[in-house]
Amino acid sequence: MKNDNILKDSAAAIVRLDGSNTFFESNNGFLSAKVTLDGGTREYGRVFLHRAFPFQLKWEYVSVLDDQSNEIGIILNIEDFGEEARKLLVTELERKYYEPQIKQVLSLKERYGFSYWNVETQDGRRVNFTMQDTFRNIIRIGEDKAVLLDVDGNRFVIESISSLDRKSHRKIEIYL
Amino acid sequence: MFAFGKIADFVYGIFEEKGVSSQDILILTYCDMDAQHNFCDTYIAATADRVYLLCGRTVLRPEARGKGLSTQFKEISFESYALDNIERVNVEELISSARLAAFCRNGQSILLCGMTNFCKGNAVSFSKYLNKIIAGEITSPDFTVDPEDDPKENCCPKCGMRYPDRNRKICPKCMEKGKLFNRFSSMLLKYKRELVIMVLSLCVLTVAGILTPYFSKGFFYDNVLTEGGSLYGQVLLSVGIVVATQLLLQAADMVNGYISAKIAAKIVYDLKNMIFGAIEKLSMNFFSGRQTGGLMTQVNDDSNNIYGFFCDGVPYFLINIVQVAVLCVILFIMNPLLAALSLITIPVFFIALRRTLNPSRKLHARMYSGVRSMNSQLADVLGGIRVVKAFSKENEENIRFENTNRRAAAGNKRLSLFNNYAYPSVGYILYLGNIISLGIGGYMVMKGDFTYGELITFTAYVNMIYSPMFFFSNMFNWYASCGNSLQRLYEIYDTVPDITEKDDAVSPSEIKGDVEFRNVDFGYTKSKKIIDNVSFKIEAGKILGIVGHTGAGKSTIANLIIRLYDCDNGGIYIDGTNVKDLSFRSLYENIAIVSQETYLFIGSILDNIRYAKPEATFEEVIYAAKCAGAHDFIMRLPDGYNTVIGFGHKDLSGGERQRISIARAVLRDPKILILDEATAAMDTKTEKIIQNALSVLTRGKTTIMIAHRLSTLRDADKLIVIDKGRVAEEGTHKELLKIKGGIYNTLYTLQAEALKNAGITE
Repeated sequence: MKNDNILKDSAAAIVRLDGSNTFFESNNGFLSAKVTLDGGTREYGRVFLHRAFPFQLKWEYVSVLDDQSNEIGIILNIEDFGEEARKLLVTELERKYYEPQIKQVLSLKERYGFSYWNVETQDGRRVNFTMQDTFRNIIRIGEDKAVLLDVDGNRFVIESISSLDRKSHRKIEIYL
Repeated sequence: MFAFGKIADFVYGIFEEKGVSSQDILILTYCDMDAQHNFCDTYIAATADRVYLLCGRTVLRPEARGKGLSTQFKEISFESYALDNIERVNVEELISSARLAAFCRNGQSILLCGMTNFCKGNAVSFSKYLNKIIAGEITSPDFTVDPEDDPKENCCPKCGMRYPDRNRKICPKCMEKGKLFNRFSSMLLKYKRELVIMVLSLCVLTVAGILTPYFSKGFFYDNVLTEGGSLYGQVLLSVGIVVATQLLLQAADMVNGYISAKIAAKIVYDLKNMIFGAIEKLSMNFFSGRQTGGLMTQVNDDSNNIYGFFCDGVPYFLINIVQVAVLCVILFIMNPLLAALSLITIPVFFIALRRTLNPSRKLHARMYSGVRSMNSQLADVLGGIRVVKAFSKENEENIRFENTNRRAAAGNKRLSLFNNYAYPSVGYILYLGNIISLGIGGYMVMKGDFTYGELITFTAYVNMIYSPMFFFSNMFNWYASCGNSLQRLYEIYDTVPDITEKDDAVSPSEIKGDVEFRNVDFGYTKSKKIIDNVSFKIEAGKILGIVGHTGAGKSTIANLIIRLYDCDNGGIYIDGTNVKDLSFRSLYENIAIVSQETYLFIGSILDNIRYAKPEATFEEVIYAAKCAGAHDFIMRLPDGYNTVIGFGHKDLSGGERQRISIARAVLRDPKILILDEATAAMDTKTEKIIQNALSVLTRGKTTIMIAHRLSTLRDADKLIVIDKGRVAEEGTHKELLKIKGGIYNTLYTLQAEALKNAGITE
């Protein structure tokens, strides 16, 4: 009931973008859009995508912003678009939210407040990174997922802590 | 040519093959992704007229002859773009990666490459200099790179490893702890006399410590109780000797304890003073990167840690190490075989202990993590107790607490259980030596090779060697953690403030109050400009209003004037002198700022108003309070101006605090007054009162008013509208209102309407 009221309030109403009112295009690798709303059609040379709930919903509630960071509208679900547009959206979102997944922790050393990690990611690469203040830079999402933030601002994801191998698990357990 | 980051030699060769001579390359960098965000090695080079992108994969291959590896570069693509067509390049930050984009003059954009954040720092510097090349500022290879853009500045000069934290130029790998301790020891030299007495008392302690068991055990039995002994029958005398050595031991211990307590307190005092003095001098940047609460706890904990190590650890360690050495010599003199047998358990003990340490450390860490999350949850809930109650979530919070509490308790239990069996078992290994010496020694006594007294002394000495072993095993950890504490403290001490006063800074006898911004750029982080090419001028005695949305960069402008931060490009001038050339004193004496964040120090209202001018008379204080509209509410308080803030649980409201801080600024009587949302926390009526008072006050002073509520800025001589870090509109109130559809016009209409709806007319 209450939620209905919020949705009806014109100022707070979600401007919903879907295949019927929005046309996405790739422009030299940048995403551009043509949006038709009540006020007529507008072309945006560049648009930016931003997930509203990046830890929970990957393909739903994606905000579309113009180059001045003003929200044009929200994509409730990318399934609301045709296949071509969906491909563009997926590519753009995966680039923006590029987060290597940790498959295995090869070594983890702690020295003077920094921890030095050597991990193997899902795509088979071995990556070294450094974390400072390790406890504070590991965010737990739910029971089984964790996001790590290194000193450069890189993010690494452990999708399922419980399915890590025993050795890796033993190395990281004190931080969890 | 300047390379941002390490570039292997073969890369230059490939560029040469492509017809790009190394001599022509002005700047070069490396990124780890291509434009499609796929991993590959991308080298970007720029000459005076083109930018080249070389994409490929570097593979290591065993060399045909010999054992070494050779690098092979598999090219994927090679592209180049004329700089004539490019307007600017920019590194766009994504969530965990970034991309380098070029914006062309024809409105098109080109995606040059992607990168993970590992390469972002270098790419940002690269793009900065590429933009300079595009602008024609750099045409030949002989340009200089700012130290902050030089990646080498962020690497350890010794091992080449990048500093984990750019702001802390410390390589944890190469940090020399010995040097830290030496440096700290030089602080101790101040207390030379006390240290000499301490060492003497330690010597006495060692000797008396060894003599006590000798006189009370072996000597007593062999020479006093045994017939034919040198002091046979003289029990009283020998008891007297034992008492005397024990008294000596006690006295030396007391002297040692007294002196170490005395200098320890002094050293911690010196240390804290030194660090606090250093913290005060640091620039805002240092604080914005850290939590200040945590910083002070850290300083406190670290000083206590150092104190503990130097005053409890080091003396105890010294006494024991000397004692153990002397005892070993004595034992070997007494009976080499027995000595060797009874000491053999020591290395075994250390090996066993090392094995137990690892699980113990993990259990400790788990317990701490449990306790930490419990504490933080507790602090969180208690801090937000009003919200918890308002949403009646007590039960949920209880359950949440129960869970973390259970975890913490479980961790604690496991650790206690482990400690209960692990350490005594390991300790028992040590005492096996004692049993060996007792058994074999007993056999020797029976055979008459050893006297009974000697055996008792021997076993007592063996025990004396064993007792500090647990302590020794922990000493290295203690040393390491103390080294860490010292490093942290010296790091604060050694941090050079980024905002410094020039050696030849000028202090003009009088400042008129002209303020000018010339093409100022600034960002709290390198890649994001908060202030973008801002220029404006305000003459002395005039009022400038700064308007804009939240987060537009208004307060940053105020922070730049008083040099809480320094601008990246352009300059800020007061009476035509760059603020960077003015002395801190002349800057702070002539500029007062009242900001949105008010801070009142512990103490009375009077002290707080007088903070800026401690010598102000009572009359001046009242005048200032009246100007700020604070006098009336202060007089309603039982203790008037002497009201101690926070005393008797009487706290001031946000508006009241704000008025006190305005009074503080008024009392300083500056030439330039900055009001940064100074009246934001007040109701419209109070704001009007203060506005009127302030209008008297601002007469003859350069005033910069930053406000949300535009009505307060109507009297300004000039207004600037800041939007996304740039000056979007400029003019008087009337002029700006005329711009139909302008930001100011829109904001003003909206606010006037809102006020009208609320029944307030202006």
